[in-house]
Amino acid sequence: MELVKYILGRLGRSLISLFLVLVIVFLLMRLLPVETYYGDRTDRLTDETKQAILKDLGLDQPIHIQLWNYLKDLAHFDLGESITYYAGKPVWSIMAPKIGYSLRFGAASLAISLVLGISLGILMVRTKGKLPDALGNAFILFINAVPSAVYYLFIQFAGTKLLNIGMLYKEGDISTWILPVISMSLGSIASYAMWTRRYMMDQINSDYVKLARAKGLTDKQIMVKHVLRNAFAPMAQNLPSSIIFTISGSLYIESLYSIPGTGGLLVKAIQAQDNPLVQMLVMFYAVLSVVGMLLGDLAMMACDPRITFTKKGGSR
Amino acid sequence: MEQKNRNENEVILSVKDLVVKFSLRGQELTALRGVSMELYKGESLAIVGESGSGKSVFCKSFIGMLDKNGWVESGEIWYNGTDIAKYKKDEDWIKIRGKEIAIVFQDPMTSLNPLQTVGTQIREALELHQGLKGVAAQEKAIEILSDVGILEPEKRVKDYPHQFSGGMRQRVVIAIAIACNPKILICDEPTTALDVTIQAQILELLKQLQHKYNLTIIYITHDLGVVANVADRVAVMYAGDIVEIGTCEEVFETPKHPYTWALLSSLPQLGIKGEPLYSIEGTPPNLFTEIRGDAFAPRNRYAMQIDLLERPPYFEVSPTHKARTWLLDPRAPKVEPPNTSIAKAMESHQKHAAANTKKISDEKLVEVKDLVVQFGSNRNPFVAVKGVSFDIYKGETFGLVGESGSGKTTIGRAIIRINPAARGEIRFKGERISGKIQKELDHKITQQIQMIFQDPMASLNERAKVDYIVSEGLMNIHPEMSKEERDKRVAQALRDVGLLPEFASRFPHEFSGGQRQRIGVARSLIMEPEFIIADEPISALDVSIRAQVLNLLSAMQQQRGLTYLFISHDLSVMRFIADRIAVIHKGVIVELADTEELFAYPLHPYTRALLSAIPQPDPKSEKHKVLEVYDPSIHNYTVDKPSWVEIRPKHYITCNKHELEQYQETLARAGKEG
Amino acid sequence: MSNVMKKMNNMSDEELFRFIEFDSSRAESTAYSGYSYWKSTFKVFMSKRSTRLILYFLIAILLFTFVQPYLPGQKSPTEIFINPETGRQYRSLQPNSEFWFGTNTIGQDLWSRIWSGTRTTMLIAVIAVASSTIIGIIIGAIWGYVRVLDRLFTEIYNVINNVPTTVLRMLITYIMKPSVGTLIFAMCLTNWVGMAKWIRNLIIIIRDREYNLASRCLGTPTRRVIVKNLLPQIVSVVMLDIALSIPGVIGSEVFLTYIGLGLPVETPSLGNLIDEGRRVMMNLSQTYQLVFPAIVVAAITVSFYALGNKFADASDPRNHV
Repeated sequence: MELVKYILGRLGRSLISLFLVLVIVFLLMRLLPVETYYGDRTDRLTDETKQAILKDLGLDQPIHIQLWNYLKDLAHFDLGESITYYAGKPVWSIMAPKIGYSLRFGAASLAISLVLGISLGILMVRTKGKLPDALGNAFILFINAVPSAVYYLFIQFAGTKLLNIGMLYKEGDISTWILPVISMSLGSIASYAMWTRRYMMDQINSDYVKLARAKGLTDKQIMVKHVLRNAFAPMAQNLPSSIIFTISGSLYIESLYSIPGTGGLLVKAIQAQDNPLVQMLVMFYAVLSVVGMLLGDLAMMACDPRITFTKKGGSR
Repeated sequence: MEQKNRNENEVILSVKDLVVKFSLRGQELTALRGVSMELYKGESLAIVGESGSGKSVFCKSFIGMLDKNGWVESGEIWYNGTDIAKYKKDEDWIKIRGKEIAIVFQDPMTSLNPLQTVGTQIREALELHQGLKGVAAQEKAIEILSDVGILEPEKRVKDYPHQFSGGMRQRVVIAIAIACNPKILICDEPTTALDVTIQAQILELLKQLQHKYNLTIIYITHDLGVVANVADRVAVMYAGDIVEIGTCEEVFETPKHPYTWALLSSLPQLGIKGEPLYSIEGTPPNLFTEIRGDAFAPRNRYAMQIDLLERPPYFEVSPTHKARTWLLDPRAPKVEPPNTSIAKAMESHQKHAAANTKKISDEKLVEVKDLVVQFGSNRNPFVAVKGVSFDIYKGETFGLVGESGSGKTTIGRAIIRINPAARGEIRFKGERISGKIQKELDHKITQQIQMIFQDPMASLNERAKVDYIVSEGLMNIHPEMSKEERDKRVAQALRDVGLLPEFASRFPHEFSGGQRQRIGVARSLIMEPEFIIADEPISALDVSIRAQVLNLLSAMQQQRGLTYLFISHDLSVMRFIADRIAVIHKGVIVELADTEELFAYPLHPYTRALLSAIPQPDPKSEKHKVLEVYDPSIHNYTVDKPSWVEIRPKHYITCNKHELEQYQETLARAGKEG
Repeated sequence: MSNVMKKMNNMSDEELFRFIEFDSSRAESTAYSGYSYWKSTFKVFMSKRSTRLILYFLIAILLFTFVQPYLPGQKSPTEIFINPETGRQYRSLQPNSEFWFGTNTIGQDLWSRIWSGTRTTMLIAVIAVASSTIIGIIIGAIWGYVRVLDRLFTEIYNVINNVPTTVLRMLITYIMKPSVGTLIFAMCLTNWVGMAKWIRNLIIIIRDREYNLASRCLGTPTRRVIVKNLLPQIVSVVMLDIALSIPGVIGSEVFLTYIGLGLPVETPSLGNLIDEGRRVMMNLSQTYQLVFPAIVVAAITVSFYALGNKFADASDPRNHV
C-alpha cells in the first residue's frame, strides 16, 4: 500500500515537471522568427500565402491562446504536422516506424556494453595497480576525454577502409551493423567499467567486508557474495536512464551511418528547420528522461532494503 | 572468583618480540616495537592504550589483517604449535580467521552488509565453520540470535541490519563471531560507539557468552572502566609496546609504570572537586620518529637520565605482574606513587566535597522555560526537546547528562540559536533571546555566549590558519580592531590555554586532538564571554588528554567567573565538574539536583540506570555491580499525568502522583538507614 | 647508537638514575611540518613526472596557439592560396614545406587554420566553462546553504534536468543565430546546472560540520562563512569539474557543427575543421585533413581530462603525507 502511494506521488511529480518542460519548450520554439515556419520556399511566397500558412498553423494568435490550443491538441494525442521534412505528414507517423530501428541497435549495443563494461570493471578491481588496470584506466580516460564525434569518425574510417564494410547502413546487410554498434558501445563500456570499479573499490574498503574477511571468507567468496551486489546497488539508479537513452538511438551515430532511427531524425529535422518535428522530438526525449529517472528511483528501491517509502522505517 | 575459567598453565597464544611496520608515502613507521605477551586459555585479557598505541594493530596481526601497507618485520606469534607470524598468503590465514580467532569491530553501524538479512550473514559463518546447511543452519542462527539476547529471534532473523538499533547490531556482529565457533574472540573497542546503558548490557552479554562457549577474550579498549569490569588481566600499551601487564587487581591497585599511574590518576573519578586533576602533559609520540630510551620519558615527571638513553627491560613485580620502567631497577630512587585507588579517592572526595562546594550566586544568568525544539516539516515533525525548563545561575557549572538522541546537544544549540526554538522561551540576563530579536542584542549575546564543540577534528576549519580561527569572532564583534591588537589578543589567548603563541601561523592539521580542543577553547575565550556551552568537550579525546582540558576549563572558570553549561553522557565526569546536574531522557528532563544530592539520592529509575551502567575504574566494585535497566514502560502516564515536582530542597523530578509517593517512601527509607 | 653506549658507559649509576627536570615544552612539541593544504596539494600534484609532462605540454600548446599568428612566416587562415603558375587554387595539397599541414579543399593553409581554430574553440570553451562555473558556484552555494530555497531550486533543477543536455544545446543553438556568442551561451546555459548540483551536494555535506556551526556561534556573516569555510573545501571539486567540462564543451562544438548548428564556415574552429575533414576523409589522399585537427582535439581534451583527475587525487588530503 505504501509502495503504491509512493509510486503515485512520484508519478505525479514527474507529470508536473514534464508539463513544465512542455510549456518551456513550446515557449522557446515561439522565439524563432516566423520565417522559419514557411518551409523551403520562403522567397517565392506572397504575403497572402504567408499569412495563410501562419493562420493554418495558428501562429497568428496571441501566445497564450497558441499554448492553450497546443495543450488541447496534446490531450488528444495530436502532435502536429511536419512542415518541411515530410510536409503535411503527422509527426507521430513519421516517427513511429523509426523507433524499431533505434530499438534494435540500442539493444545490441546495450547488451555488449553491459557485459564488457562490468567485466572490465571487475577485471580492473582484481588487478588493481597492475597492467590490466592501468590499460583499463587509459581506455576510460581516452573515451571520456576525446569527443565521441571525433573517434566515431575514425571507427567509420578504419572499418570502411580496413575491413571493407559498407560505410552506410544497409537494410539486410548484417555487416553494416558492426561499426555503429561498436561506436555506440564504447562510451557505455567506459562508463560502466568506471562506475563498477569505483563502487567496488568503495565496498572493498568498507567495514563489513573486513568483517567478512575476519570471518574466514576467501577474497573470491567476498567478491561474489558481498562486493558485487553491493556495488551494483548504487548503479541501479542510473541504469534505466542509460538503457532508455541507448535504445532511443544515438543522435550522431544514426545520422553518421544513415540509420533510419529516431536519433537521426532530430538531426534531420533541425537541418530541415522543421519546427513542429523538432518540438515533438525534444518532448519525446524529455518524456524518456522523466520515465528513466522514475524507473531509476524504483530500481534503487528494489535493490536496497534501506530505502523505504515512509519516514518510520527502522525499528528499534 | 574472577579466575574461574582460567587455566594458569595452558597458553593458547604467545607472541614474542613482534615488530610491525607500516609504510606511508615512502616513510616507514614502526607500529609495534617488539611486543611479547602470553594469552591463557579461558581468560579475559584487556589491552588498554590510547589512539596510536598500536593496540588494534597488535590484535589484527593475529589474524593476518594488517592494512595492505603494513607487515610483520620480525617476531613470532605461536598458536597451536605453529608460528602464524610466518603466514604470508590468505590461504594460510583462512585456517585461522573465524575458525580459531574471531573479531568484533568497533562500529556496529558499518560492520554488517546492509543488503543481506542478518540471518544470511550468520548462516554464512555457520556454513563456513560448522558445516551447517539449510534448515539446520537457520535453526542454529535463530538459536545464536537468542543467545545474544535478541528478542523474537525467529522473526528478527529475516530482518536487515538497518532495522536494528546500534546496540542490537553489535549483538548481531557478536552472533556472527560466535557462529564461527572460535577459540579466541577479539573485541576491538566493542562498546565505544554505544551509549553507556547499552555498553553495560553488551559487556554483560560477552561475559555470559565467554562462559557458555568457553571463549578466550581479548578486549581492546581505551576505557579503564570497561577494563575493570571485564578483565582478568590487563596489558597497558604505550607507543607500540606493552609497558605493564598484570592481573586486573595488580594493575589497578599497585601499578608500577609511571604511564599507568598517570592514566589512572588523571581519571575524573579520582579528582577532587575544585582542585586540578592530575594530568599528563603533552601528546603521545609520533611513530615516524625513532624512539630512543623509554618512549614515555618526555611526558614522564619521574623521568631519569637513563630513560632518555636506554629502553628499560621488563622488571618482574610478581609472577603475574611485570612492567617496563627503570623505576623498578634496584638502583633507582624510591618514588611514592600517586593515589590511583578509587576507594581512597572517594573517601577524600567526601571529606572535601562539603568544604569545596562553591558558593553560587542566586542571580539567574540563563532561564529556559518550556523549551520545545523540533526538526523536519511542520506536518511531520520530529520533536527532539519536549518542553524543558531550567535556570542556570551565574558562576555555576550546570551539567546536562543524557545518552545519544536525548536532546541534550539540541538544548545547547537552541540556547546559542543554532537550532530555533519551536515553543517556549530562553532568557539571558533577563532578556528574551529566543525567536526574533533586535540586532544590538544579537550582537551582544554573540559575544557573551560561546560554545565548545565535541569533535576537535571537525570543529576547526582545516583550510584556515590558527590565527584566523582564533580571531574569527573578534573580527565580527570588533571589526574596527587593528591587526596588531588582534594578533596580540590571539597570542594571549593561545598562552592562556597553554599553547605557544607561534602556533598561530600553523594549520590545525598538525596539532593533536588535545591541542586542537584547546585551540577551540581559545577561540571561545577570546570573545570574553560570560557563558560557555561545552558540548561533550572531552569525549572525543584520549584518556591522558581529557584531564588537561578539564583542568583548563576549571581554571578559566575560577579566573574569569565563567558560567558553564556542560553537556556530557558521562556522569563520572559530571561529578567532578558540575555543581548541579540535569538528567535528560528522550527530550524530557527527568531529574535535576545538586551534584552530591543526585549521587546520594538518585530517584528516577533512568538516573539510577545511568549511574549503575557507568563503568568505574575499580575492579572490586565493578565486577560485582548489579546493573539496573531502565524500562520506560513502567511509567503509566495515561491517566495520572506527570509533572515537575520539587521532592527535596532543590531536587526536582518528573513524576506523577503515584510515583511521587513511591519516591518519597524510598527517601524515607534511605533517611532511616543513613 | 654507539654514541649512546659511550655516554652510558661514561655515567655512573647514580647519574643515570637521577631525575631529570620536567620540561613541558618537550612534552608539548609537535612535529612542525609547515603544512599548508595548498602547498601540499601543489607538491603532490607536481611530484609525478607524467603529470608535469602533460601540464607543460598543455601550457605549450595553449601558448603557441596565441603566439602563432605573430610568428614570422605564418599564413592567413582564411586566405585562399592560388598557384601563380596555373592560376588555380592550391586544392587539397598534401603536407609540404610550404604548407606544413597541407591545404584544404578550397586551398586554405591547414596549419594556420588549425591554430586559428584552436583559438576560437578554446575561447568558447574557456569562456563558457568559466562563466558557467561562476554561475554554478554562486547558485550551488546559495542552494546548498540557504535551507528555505532548497525545495524550490531542486524542483527547478529537476525540470531542467529532464531535457538531455545534448538536446537542450541543440535546441538553443537552433533557436539562436549561429555565432561564437550563441555557442558560449548554449554551453554555459547547460553546463552550470550540473556544476550547481555538485556544489550543492558538497555544501550540504559540509555545512553542518562543527566548524561551520562554530562560525555561526561567533557571529560570522553568511558571506564570509561561504567564502572562508565552504569555498576552500570545494575548490578541488571545482577544478576537477572545470578540467572535465572543457573536453565536453569542445566535443559539443564538434557535434553541433556536424549537425549544422556550429559556427559559420568562414570562422575556423576545431569543429569546422573536423567537419571539413570528415567530408573528405574517405578519400585516402585527403584523410590528413581530418587527422591533423583530430590529433589536436584529442591532445587537448586528453590533457585537460588527465590533469583534472591528477589534481583531484592531489587535492585529497589523504594523499598528502
